[in-house]
Amino acid sequence: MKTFLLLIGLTQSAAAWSQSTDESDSPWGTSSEDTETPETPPAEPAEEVPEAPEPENTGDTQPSATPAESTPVAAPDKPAAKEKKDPATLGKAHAPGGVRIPSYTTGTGVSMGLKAVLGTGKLFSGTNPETGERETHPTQPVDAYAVFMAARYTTERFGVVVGIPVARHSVPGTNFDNSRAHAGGLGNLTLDGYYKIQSGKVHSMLAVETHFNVGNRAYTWLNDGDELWPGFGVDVAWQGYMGDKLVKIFRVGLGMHAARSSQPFPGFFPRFQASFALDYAFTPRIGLITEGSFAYWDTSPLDLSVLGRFDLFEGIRGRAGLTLPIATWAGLVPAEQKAGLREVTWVMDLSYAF
Amino acid sequence: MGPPAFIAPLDGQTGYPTGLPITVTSDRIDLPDDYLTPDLIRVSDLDTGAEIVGNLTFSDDGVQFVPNQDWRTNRRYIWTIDPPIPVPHGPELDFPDHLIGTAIFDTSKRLKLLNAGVDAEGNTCMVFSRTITSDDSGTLRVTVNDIEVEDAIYSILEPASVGNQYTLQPDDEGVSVVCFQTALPIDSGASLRLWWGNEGPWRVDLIDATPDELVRILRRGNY
Repeated sequence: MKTFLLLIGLTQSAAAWSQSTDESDSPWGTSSEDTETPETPPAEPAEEVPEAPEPENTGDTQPSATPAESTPVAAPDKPAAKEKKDPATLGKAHAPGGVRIPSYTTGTGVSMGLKAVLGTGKLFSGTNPETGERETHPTQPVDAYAVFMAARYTTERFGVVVGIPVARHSVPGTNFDNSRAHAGGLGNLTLDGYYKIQSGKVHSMLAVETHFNVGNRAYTWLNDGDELWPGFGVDVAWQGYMGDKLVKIFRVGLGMHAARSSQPFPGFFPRFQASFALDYAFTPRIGLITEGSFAYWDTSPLDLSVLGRFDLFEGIRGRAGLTLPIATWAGLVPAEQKAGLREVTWVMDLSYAF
Repeated sequence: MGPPAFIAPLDGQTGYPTGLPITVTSDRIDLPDDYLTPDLIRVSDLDTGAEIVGNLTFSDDGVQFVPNQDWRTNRRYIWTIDPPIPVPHGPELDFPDHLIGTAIFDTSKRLKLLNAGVDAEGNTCMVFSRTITSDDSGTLRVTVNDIEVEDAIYSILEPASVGNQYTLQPDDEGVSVVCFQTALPIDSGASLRLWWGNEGPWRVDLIDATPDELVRILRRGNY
């Protein structure tokens, strides 16, 4: 509850702060809601000004916020207006997000990503069947990664995202020396829908997120326990963002989940999630994302993520970085895991908005 | 302690029906049924050394190894329970330690002495590898520390009265336990030799155990 109140407080203060900034500098662009309620008073109707000739098609579909303030003939050729084109276009294509906070309002398109756990795993013990003695294997390399594919369809108010991860992970070997084999499998299919809410300067949305297994199971996990391990569930989430050069992103969610019951996964569990992220735009094309996330029940209850983002071309955004499983390092996880700095998760994705 | 956990056939059992699977009963086995667990149960033909191919089936009660073909008659098999060591970011693969190990069973009707012990009441009990029937004729001869036991009165405990918490599969007759008392007490650690008609001799060191405990050891049971 404290986390929730903190997020609300941050939301309100950030909203007040963002109202004092120049919206036209936003790297995320200007939404249609913004243009419907301009802060500056509308200019006098240009009845006495001669009709302007049709401007050439520059590819800039972003409407001007103050179309009548300057001479209509000169407006399309102003250098200042051209400089604002890239941020606006890029922003409408890609909404801010983190690792645990999906970029729901990113425009219709597709994305693909990779998450891989790097490092060494927990302490192991087993009984040698030949000697009958318990033996300990100090550490083993973690070998679990997944490719995530998703497609989005978005409208002005609604959106639907469907995704499926494909995982590859190690499985126990065929001998006591534990020479390991690998297996592949499908993670849980995700089907999410959201409704966009405009409240002042806060771009928020309500989302209903579902996931369910579709077979060829992958008994592993990366950080988020819902992604790969066979299970199904539904969450309701509220998330949003505000700000310009430094965008604040928040998310809270609550859901009920079921998973294939086998340690460390319980069979049935509720899940609360709260995340907060910052996206700092160095330039309209380049930014840095930091995210903190708490979730319970989860295989990694507390994560910190750091990602760099780069808009290669209009509509194409690449991100890469690391997720630091803080709770895993502290040994505060449901799996049998001793405390220690052993693993991180490499995260990278590429998104294309049509 | 939970519900009974044990193996079937019992370690050393003979006369095991050719159509029965190997069964490991426990509600504490925590393995996803479709998770790759190679070599959890390995079975070999002791006469030929050939590995027996079969399938593992999981249930809430435990796991079974079902051979692709019935066990051959008059064969001895060795089998090992070897739970895999879990991998990072994978299932924990919980498996009760007391069930782990290697055991032997035989599809022949051969009779063997498997285990023997002395309980607190002075009963000396011997576990045989199958149920004793009226077909098992012949003179029973026992020595303890090479001294002939002549004054003993023998009694055969029914399988249902020994280790009855370990539910047997249909057609599995289990084993028989034969007990006797002597005028002079017999201590644990003593060396017991036994002949039955033309069978034997078998030799075991007596341990402190009741008949139920003797069976539990061979069943790798938790009671």
